[in-house]
Amino acid sequence: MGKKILIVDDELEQIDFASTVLEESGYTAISAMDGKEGMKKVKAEKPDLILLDILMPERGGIGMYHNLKHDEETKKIPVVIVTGVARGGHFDDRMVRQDQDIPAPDGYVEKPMNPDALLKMVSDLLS
Amino acid sequence: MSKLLLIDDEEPIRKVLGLYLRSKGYEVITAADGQEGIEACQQESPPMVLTDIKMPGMDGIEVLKRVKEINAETEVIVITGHGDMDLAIQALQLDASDFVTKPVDNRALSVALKRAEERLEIRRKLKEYTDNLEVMVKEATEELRKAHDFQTNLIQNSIDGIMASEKSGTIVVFNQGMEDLVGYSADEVIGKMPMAGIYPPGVGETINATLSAEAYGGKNRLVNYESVLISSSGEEIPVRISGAALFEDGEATGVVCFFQDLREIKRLQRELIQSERLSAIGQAVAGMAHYTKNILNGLQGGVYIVNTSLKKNKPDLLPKGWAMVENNVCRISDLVMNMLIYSKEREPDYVICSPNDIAQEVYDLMHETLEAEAAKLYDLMEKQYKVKVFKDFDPSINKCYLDPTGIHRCLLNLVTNAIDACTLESDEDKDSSIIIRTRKEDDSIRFDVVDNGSGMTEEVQEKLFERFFSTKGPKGTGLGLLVTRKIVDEHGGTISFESNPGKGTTFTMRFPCGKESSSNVIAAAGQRETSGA
Repeated sequence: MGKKILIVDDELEQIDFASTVLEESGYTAISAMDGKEGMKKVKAEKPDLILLDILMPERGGIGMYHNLKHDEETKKIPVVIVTGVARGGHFDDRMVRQDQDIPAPDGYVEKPMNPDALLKMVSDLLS
Repeated sequence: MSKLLLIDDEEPIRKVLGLYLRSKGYEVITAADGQEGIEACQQESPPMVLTDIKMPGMDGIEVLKRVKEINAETEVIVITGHGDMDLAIQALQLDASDFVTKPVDNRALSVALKRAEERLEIRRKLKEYTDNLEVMVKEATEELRKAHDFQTNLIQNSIDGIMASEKSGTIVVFNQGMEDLVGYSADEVIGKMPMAGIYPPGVGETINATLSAEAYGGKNRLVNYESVLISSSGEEIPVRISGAALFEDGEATGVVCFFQDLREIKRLQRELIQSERLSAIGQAVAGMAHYTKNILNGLQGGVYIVNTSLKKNKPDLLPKGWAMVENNVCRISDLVMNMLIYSKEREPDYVICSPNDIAQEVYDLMHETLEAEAAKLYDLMEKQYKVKVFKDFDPSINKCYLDPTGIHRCLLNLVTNAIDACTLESDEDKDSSIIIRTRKEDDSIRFDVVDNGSGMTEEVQEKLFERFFSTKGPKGTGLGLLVTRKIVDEHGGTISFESNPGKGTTFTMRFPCGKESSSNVIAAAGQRETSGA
């Protein structure tokens, strides 16, 4: 059994794609479609890494990131942010941290998602 | 005190009369003969002269003539001897005011003087009056000239074109503004051209008819009526016309019209529309870019999975990848269709069709989509998909003339929105349902799309039909409702909605489908085919 990765995205297709890519490389993919469900799965399944879509309705992505980082039980789990919003190719941590004293995300992948880049980032973070 | 010249060769008479006259209040100048008298007359200009008629040297008649030559208005009274009636008559013929006979009777003289005074007074008054009259006429003329000049200037220098015609319609006033507007010179048109000549054929008649009607500013008036003029070079010039029919003593005498050049305003309007369109295009492009990036994302994902399946020889991955490709091809096709419909003027393509069939097609398509979604959801997360679509069709609806492609598109857009509204619904235990409903109404067909999803806030409801407004972020284009309304409008139908936040939304479209309109519809459809061919 490979390492367990939680994909949180409000688009089923995105989950379908990411989980296929990850499972093909030997990971176990689990998924959730909003922040609330995502936190439940984190607690229940204790994933090794979280792939989190930042642009979900009602600040779902940012909210979940903050919940993760404020919770002793979950703050150490690496989080990769999936975003369509990159300013000039650079990701701005402030958009995710919202001026709070929490660590920056461990990585970013941009939509449309490049599978090789995703796999490399995941393998680097989990090694 | 008025001057009086007394001429007599006899000194005692000069003395006696002089005393008498001074006592009467005259300033008396005396002269001993005619010559001296004339000189005094020239120097002193007395208004009244009293002269003896028989004198050595220049006699009284000669004096009279000369005095009248110097000033015809001088009153001359002659003193004649007894029996000199001929001379007296001669003197009167030469415009003497009176005569008195020697020996001079004071009363007779007094009467003669009084008459002379009166004649002087009348003449003075007449002169005063005449002088005043001249001044008054001069003043009035000046006023009139000023007023006329002012009006002429006003008409001539008005930026607006001003044109007037007499009863026959012939142009009588044509100012600089008109010359600039239509390119004819005043000389070419005044007295030569009828007013109708500067309008395109038929327009002049329409304007005259409008002038006599009530619609624009009341009877015999025209206020801010928009029309066109035709210039000497044949160019049509948009103008705003104000005018009035002219009457004198209740009889129509002509028409005056004021023309405001609307070319610049029309140009600015076109520019404004153009720039609004450009800015809308800018917004649309930005929105489209996000949306297509999303589709691209899905397409690339599908392609990657298909490739993986082929490379690693894993046939079980193929359907998943291919479904992803198909799904996104579908989305991009929807997008392109919506864009085409939105950007082009189109006429509904009326054919005989069954409204329920259209609704059934949409139901089938959406049902299939939702089934696939549900399967995927169960496969990935072992979750039940909560959105279901239902149908409620009115079996009494017969076939009628409608544009099935357009209505299909409308229903598809509304159902897609309804699904999104249900997906947004945060209550996990709630079963979401969408109902596609058809109903026959008096002479229209009604389509309802009912959902029990998230509903819309008032703010969202207000912006609903704004250009490219979307609540879905990069997952929406803001085109769906715009296109839907456009199709409904083109179809002569109506679209309305009712929404309660947290409870759901119902969209209602009504399309006219009366039997009486169907023949027109066929005719219109036939024409379009001919023109399209």
